[in-house]
Amino acid sequence: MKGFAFTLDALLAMIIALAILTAIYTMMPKAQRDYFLESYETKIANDILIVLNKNGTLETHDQTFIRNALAELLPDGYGGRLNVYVYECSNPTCDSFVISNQIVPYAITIDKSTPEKDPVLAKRSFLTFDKNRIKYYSIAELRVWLA
Amino acid sequence: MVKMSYSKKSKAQLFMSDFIMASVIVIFIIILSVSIWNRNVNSLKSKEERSGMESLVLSISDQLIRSPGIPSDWNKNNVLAIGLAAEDNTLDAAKVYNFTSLDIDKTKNLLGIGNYNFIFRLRNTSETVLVEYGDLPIDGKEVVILRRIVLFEGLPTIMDLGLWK
Repeated sequence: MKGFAFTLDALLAMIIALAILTAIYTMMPKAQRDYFLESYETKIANDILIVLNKNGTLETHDQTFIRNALAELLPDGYGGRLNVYVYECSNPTCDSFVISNQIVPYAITIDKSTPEKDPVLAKRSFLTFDKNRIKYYSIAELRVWLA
Repeated sequence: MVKMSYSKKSKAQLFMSDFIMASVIVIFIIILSVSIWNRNVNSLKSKEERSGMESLVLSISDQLIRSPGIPSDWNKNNVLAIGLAAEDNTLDAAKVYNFTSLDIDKTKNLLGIGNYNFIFRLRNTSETVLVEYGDLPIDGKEVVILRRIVLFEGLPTIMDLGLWK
């Protein structure tokens, strides 16, 4: 009877030890892999916003044009959602600028079939000019996720 | 007398079977541990190597697309550090062509990737290759390729940077 009790103890200890080892073994590689993937996704999201800003695509506020440009630049297998918040000048001459007059924001989603899962976020603000005056101040937020 | 002798023999047998069983278990555990250890060490080594390559690719890609290089108007005769940027994510075409005319070994030394081979490629969004420099990876070799988005000659362009051993 004593021997039996000892075997149960040993068995229980072994199961717990195996469970801990398995948990460590399965969790470690995932943590290492995610770092590169996350850095890559963050860099891609930032790159896309910078390029779309610098080549004047975002400033057009033309949603079809922006959608096509975004779809071309997103790597295969990735989904993306671009939210743009647009603010107008507080007066017609635009000699003062108050970030309160928000006009209707818009969102563009690429690959709607897959839900957002652990997206990375990139943000960029930009100005739209009209006749050498600031017309809009906008904030673009791009979420990118592995579809 | 006969009974006593039988009893002694039986005890000795029981000890031997315990000992053999324990030895088998210990040897089995040692062999299992050594094989798991070796497998993990090899797996860790290859992960560490891949992780090193990934870090290198991330930092070199940043250097190429964000830095103008040293000196900022470098050419293939006076380059101290390679950078291709006119400004953030905008490549200077002259620097790109200077870069691709550099000797491969000199480029590897300047980028700090002496032990690796690399491939640098610019593609437009229709997948046409505009610039290619470096060595193409050999089949079966582990390659780390990173994609960045840049402006090249005014157009959105895909920059691939790959490292392999």
